[in-house]
Amino acid sequence: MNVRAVTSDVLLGIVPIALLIALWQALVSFGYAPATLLPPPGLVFMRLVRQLLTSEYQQEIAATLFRLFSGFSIAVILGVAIGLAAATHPAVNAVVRPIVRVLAPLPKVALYPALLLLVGFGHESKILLVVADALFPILLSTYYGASMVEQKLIWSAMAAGTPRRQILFKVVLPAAVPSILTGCRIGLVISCIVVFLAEMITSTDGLGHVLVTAARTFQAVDMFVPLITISLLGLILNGLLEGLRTYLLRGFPEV
Amino acid sequence: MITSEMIARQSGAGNILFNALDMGQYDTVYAMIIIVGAMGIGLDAAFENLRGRLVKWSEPGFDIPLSFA
Repeated sequence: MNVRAVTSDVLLGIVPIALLIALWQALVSFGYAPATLLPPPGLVFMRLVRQLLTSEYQQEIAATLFRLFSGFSIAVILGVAIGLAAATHPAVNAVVRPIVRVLAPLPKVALYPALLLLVGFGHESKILLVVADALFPILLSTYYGASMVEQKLIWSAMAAGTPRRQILFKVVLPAAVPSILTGCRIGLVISCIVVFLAEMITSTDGLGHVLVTAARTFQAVDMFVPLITISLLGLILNGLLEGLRTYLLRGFPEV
Repeated sequence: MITSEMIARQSGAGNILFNALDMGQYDTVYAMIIIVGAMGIGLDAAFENLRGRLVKWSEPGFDIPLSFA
């Protein structure tokens, strides 16, 4: 993709966001929504910049990011390990399959009260909820990615004398990387949503807590600030993961 | 949906779940978790069944459900 195509893609991506902000401003300017309930975007962005410079707000962001990365990292390690094991060992597959079949469609947020009872109101319950939600997309994409590796590749490696253990790391895992990274991307977006929701339900810190506190005290401007912050964080993290994907898959024909 | 009920706390399964948690009725908490879980699994199965009927010509369904809520 050349520079001109990338620039036009970026511009096309900015247009809908600009339209959304214009619609927001129009709703306030023409009096469709009272400014006390829906503050103008300029005011919100100014508050956002001011908040980002305060150490208190930076601590709230750090708390959210800590839970997000802890949960997501555990989900990646468990998801990739279990997915690879289930795809390559029939015995593991026989154990994992029924468990995943029951747990994957379960709304994980329903487990949150049980997590609160078992591990308390601290970081642990939120991190475990993120793990529960992000695990299955990563596990399933790893499982299907590893299951769909062409048999010819494995036979070729075996014919070349590659030991069975090394086939997993030198053939199956690299061939499943595109699928694993797609699962990771879905898992990351889910992690962002879940950590925010968990903080909104029960927390004493984090961006979700800031939003709920502002909403309960009718501070409309402060309510929009964490919302935009988590959106920007999601956008940045998604961009970083996309960069990592492009780097890792630079030899693959699809990139 | 369940999450919004947990936050707004006016009605619904999420509301019952957190009210029970607040009042220390832990048997109700676990019962509601099972009910909500069964709802999720039932809806997933119903959707998979509908998908199978509507798009018979497409590739067969996955052995393991791909939906993750």
